[in-house]
Amino acid sequence: MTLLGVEDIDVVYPGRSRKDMPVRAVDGVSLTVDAGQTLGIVGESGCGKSSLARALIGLAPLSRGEFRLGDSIVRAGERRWPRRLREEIQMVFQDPVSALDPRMPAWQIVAEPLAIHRPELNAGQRRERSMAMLDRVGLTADLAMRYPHQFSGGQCQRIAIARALVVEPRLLICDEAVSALDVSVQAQIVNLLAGLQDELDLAILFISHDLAVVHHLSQRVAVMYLGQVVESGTREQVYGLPAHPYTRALLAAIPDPARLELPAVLDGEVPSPTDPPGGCRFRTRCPHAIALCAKSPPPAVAVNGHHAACHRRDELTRPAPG
Amino acid sequence: MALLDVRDLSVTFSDHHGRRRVVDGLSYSLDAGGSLAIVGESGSGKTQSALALMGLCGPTADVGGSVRLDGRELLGLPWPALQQIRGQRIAMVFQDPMTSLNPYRRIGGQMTEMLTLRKGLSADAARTECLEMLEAVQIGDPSNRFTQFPHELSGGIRQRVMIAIALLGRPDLLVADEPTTALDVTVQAQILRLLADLRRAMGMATLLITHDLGLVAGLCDEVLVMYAGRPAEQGPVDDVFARSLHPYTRGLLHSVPRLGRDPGRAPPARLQAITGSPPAAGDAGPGCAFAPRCAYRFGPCDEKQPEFAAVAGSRRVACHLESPP
Ligand SMILES: Nc1ncnc2c1ncn2[C@@H]1O[C@H](COP(=O)(O)OP(=O)(O)OP(=O)(O)O)[C@@H](O)[C@H]1O
Ligand code: SF4
Ligand SMILES: [Mg+2]
Repeated sequence: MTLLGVEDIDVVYPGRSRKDMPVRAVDGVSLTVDAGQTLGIVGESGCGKSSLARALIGLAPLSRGEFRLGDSIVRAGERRWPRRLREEIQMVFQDPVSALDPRMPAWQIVAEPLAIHRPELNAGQRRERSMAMLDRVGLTADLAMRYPHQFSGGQCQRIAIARALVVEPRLLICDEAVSALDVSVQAQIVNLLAGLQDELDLAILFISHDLAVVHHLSQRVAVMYLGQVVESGTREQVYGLPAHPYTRALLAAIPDPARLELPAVLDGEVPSPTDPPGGCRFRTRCPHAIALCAKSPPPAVAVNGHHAACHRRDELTRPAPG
Repeated sequence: MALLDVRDLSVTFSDHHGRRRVVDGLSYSLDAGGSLAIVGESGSGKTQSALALMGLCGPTADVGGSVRLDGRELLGLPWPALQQIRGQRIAMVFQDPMTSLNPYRRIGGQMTEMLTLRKGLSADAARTECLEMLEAVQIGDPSNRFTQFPHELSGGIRQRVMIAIALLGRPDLLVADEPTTALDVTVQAQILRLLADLRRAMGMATLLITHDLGLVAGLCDEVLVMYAGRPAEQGPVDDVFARSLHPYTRGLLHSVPRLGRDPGRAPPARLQAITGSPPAAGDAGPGCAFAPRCAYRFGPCDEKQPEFAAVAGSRRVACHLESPP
């Protein structure tokens, strides 16, 4: 069942001065997240993945399109933001330490949103819920009394997750939530998220530049490039039979301890989103680009629910003869 | 004789809080043209161990042990002598090129002065050599780049410029500290390829410092794993990854999610994570620094620091276990 439906949205940041061009950070993105499932969004810096996430919680301008979560709808240009959404969508950010108020002990940080969203609870009940949630993310009662500077990065991220989940959201957005953590700690948080999802039947929008982590956590995956989704489908489709040349390049570039040869190389870097290439935006780096790619933007075509926007999808994904 | 021979290196910081040994008992050697990766999590002492080679740990640091370059002791050398070695024999590239480049000066000026001031080349000769070097690091249209400021360059091009500057002195050893950590994965792949090509073309030795186990195999033949300032395990890359001897190395390898041979298949439901978090270097107790997180911990682990001892197959490991886990 669809929980979140995003319909053709743009996020446009106005230029800072009159000379500055506006930046269309997200350009016509549609996607859905099913209840209890994780949609992973991957892409390199500047592809618009964070802007997309921030637009869903009102931190970035929703300039066109609409999205709905359950019965709530938000349309571009509307001033009113459904009150329930503030509670139903919660977000965890990359930098766990700066996300937490240094003057509060952990239990109070986690209890704070309850004062806004659960006014019917008294102070004792709020504290109780906070402690229970901290316990659930692996922080015992004695740790709940400590302040942020007394915690490691991984523990701070546990607190941030507890704070996000204490109001029982329907959708948790994780924006590079494990990227700043040490490998050994990252694995703990990845496991924690997977466990919480099972227990709470939570939907997660998991945004990361790390394709291996996304693979581990997501049932469905969307690949973004320069503000657009170039490919999306189930994990098995996107990773097993990638249909867009950019997805294939990303997969080939993943560093892996077991791989002795160097990863394949894709030329160039992501162009500036202020002035994206016409036609297919990936064409300036694509090893398969033809004249058509410069002329018209490729439509996103679905085959068995596996979307990819590439003019040459059919010929490039046809199995080699013999 | 090895190009670089590091014996029992230690770095100790003292301030009003007391003394903290952030690098302790680190030994390795690197042959001319060879390659070694030092891998560890944040705060494990990787950067300080590299800075110590060139006397760059700062005035509050006390560096002990021995660092020999072609047999000549570097620790304790006066600043001008070190300066010369840094320009010509050992060069360093860092994670964030913006901090090493002067934001207010054009690329050309910053590059040529390395040759005019340090090597006494004429302006013309310096310019020619710098342009050649920019070409060697595969920067298109180098004379145009010469007139640009650092902020006008993309992250990948900036890192290429830093590598070009490092190579101007034709070093025998390139130390690269997290050279690709700030870059996108496709650009990271380009820089790794470039470093591997340059290493082969110029015959220089490479010391790669990274937290990413995935980067090691493509670029280096040897790997040394550090934990809390101390060496945990060392050996040929493929051996260490295929059959790690130290519980920490094993744990690390199991912690990284991997796509495996068939990425279309679902991954295991959970990763095998190591419990707890890494201590800051110098905060470990008298026993094995990894003991509080180790699943194999037994009698001696809390009492005595395991020796970093040689074992078969040119490998070394610091663990009390008789046989690997
Ligand atoms: N100038 C200094 N004074 C005191 N302590 C320091 C100083 N510089 C570094 N340290 C400490 O030394 C330890 C090792 O630091 P180092 O930077 O070498 O780690 P690292 O392995 O490079 O980590 P990262 O992966 O985060 O770069 C850390 O605990 C750090 O806080
Ligand atoms: S010495 Fe003991 S605690 Fe340390 S890694 Fe070996 S078994 Fe584990
Ligand atoms: Mg470092």
